Amino acid sequence: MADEKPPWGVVQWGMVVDTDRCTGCKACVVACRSENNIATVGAEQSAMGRMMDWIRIERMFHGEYPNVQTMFVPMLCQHCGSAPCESVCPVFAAVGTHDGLNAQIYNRCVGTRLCANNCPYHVRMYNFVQPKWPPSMELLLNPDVSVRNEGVMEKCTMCVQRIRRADLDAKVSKRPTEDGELRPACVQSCGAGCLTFGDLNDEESTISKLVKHHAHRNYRIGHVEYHTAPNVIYLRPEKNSEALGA
Amino acid sequence: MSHENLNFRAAEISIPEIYNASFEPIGRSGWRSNVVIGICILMVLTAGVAFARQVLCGFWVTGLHIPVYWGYFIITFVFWIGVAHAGALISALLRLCGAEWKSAVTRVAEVITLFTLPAAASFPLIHVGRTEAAYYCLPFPNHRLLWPNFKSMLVWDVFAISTYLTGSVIFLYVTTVPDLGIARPRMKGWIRTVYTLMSWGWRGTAEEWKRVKEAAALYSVIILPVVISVHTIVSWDFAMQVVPGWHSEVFGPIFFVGALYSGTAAVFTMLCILIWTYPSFRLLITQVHYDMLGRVWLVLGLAWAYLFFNDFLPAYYAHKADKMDYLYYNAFGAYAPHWWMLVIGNFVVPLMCLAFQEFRRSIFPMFVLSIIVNICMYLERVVIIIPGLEIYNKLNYNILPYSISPTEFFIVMGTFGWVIGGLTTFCRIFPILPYWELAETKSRQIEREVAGVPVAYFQSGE
Repeated sequence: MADEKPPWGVVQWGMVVDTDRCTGCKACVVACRSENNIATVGAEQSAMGRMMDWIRIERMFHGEYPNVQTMFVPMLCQHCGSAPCESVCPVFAAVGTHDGLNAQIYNRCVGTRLCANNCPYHVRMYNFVQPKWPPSMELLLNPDVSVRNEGVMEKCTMCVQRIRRADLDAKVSKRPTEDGELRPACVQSCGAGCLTFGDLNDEESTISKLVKHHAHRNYRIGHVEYHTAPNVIYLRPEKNSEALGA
Repeated sequence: MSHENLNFRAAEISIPEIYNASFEPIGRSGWRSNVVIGICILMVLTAGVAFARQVLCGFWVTGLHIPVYWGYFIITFVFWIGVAHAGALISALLRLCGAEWKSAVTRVAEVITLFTLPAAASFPLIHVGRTEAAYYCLPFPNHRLLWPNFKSMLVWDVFAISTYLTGSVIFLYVTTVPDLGIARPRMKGWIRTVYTLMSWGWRGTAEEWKRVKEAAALYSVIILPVVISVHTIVSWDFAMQVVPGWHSEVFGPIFFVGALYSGTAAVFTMLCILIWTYPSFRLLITQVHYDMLGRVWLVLGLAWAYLFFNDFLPAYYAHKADKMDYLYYNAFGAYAPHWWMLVIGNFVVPLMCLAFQEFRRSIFPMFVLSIIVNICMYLERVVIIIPGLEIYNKLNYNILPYSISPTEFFIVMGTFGWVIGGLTTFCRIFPILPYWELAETKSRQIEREVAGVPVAYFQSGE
């Protein structure tokens, strides 16, 4: 974290997902895989349900034929303020960080998988297979991100390597990390502008303005049922305000 | 039937006869037990190979996948923890209640705990992804000053199970020392050496007897809260999660009572096998024990049934959606055979049978019933754990059900081999019936004639 703290004290990284803008192109899924060295498990293991997507596109259908509306909901780790996964981990592999992220420490994880059972969003992915890449592709791995072994849990980090890099840059320049200075891979690759990343505590940031401007569309998935206080805020579709739940 | 036939207390058996009957089977090997031990060693070795393969290859060799992260390893873990509760119930609870008839069955129950609890404790180690790093759950000194997460119920599990294992081993050992000392002179060869070493120079002085009795009474009091906490904490592994069917407020008592219920079933299975294997035990384990323990078993079964239905009825009347999804998935969906079998085998059949004294007093039917209850209590853990995870699936690309893989099957069977083989070996080396407790109870027997009927009762021990 930058030594120069922002005037509002504590950073709270968050994301806004505008479901009206999502086209379901899955560019974010691909970008996430290549940024974070997510292993592919092969056709056979995928059919057994062991593929690992840190972000996935949920499809939702509303209405009766012929008036069917399709909605795409990008689902990623919600970086809960009160995370069900953190309290059940026996070894503090799932911990909340000072800047509002929900971190996963791969070296500390022993693989009890209870965090994944307890996650209401099903975004925690377990390495059932020892990850392997063809030798030629090993050079394509991102050096900033560790490669996980078989037997540990992994999940969306909001591209914490980019956040830490930006924090360091800001520290060198003796200034707080600025809004728009960094974007996770999914945000960067989103052509439709569905995803926005920023500091929720900064009232001048793009993300805070978005949340305020679309106050009538704000929705935090699972917060009503599980009181998870997610840092990912969804914007309901304008047309179908009942979507995403009550 | 006459009074004498019904009552072990009035049965004509002298203390020397008890002595002979208790220690006769020790050191003898028959082809039957050799075959049993041989098969068990084979099962444990197969499990070892399967576990080695799982460690080397990765967790894909199991049937687990992304929504269903817990499977038969955890089911068998809960099952063995449940069976291990037999020791606490019969030794501690009956000892505290002053039930004189309990003497013959105490050590059987404690020895079941001795072998089932390590079987249960092995499963958390088998089922974690990185077994070599599982010691992170212990608070060991390290230069990074990292502690385990004391908020996590898995850490509570570690402490609860290790406390119970230590406590029950000490409990068993303290009450065995007098028998080892008493039986030492009649033993031969290496068994005599073992007895000499393990009896710590037992002489049978009044002071030693006082200490053994005090220790047994003290441990009975101490072990009861431990045993209640152990299975409550195991139930919290599920009850504190958001998974429907797991998250339930009555899981603490239902797991505890279910554990006692299945533990008593295991004690009955063991008693029947003992009587069949060693005919001399028929003098000591009589119909009275079957009758009395059968009554305890019936009460436990009714309590379990009450809590089991209480889990669903409030949710049904309150129209609680996720719990109802879970109930319908169980009762009319993929797990309907399991669910109805467990309702019938755990509730209907035992209630019908155990309510009748004639049934409680017959050995073979009780053996069959104990096997049925053991199987159905295993099924109860299956329908608690798997369906909840399956209907909790919110992934739209993956609706696979979970099924057991050969690796999981062999590892689970290996723990059955460990328990059965361990019990058989124990009976060949150590006295499975507590001679000193039986003889002590016998020596306090007083017979008197009341209104022309001979009545036997016991003088108070202390």
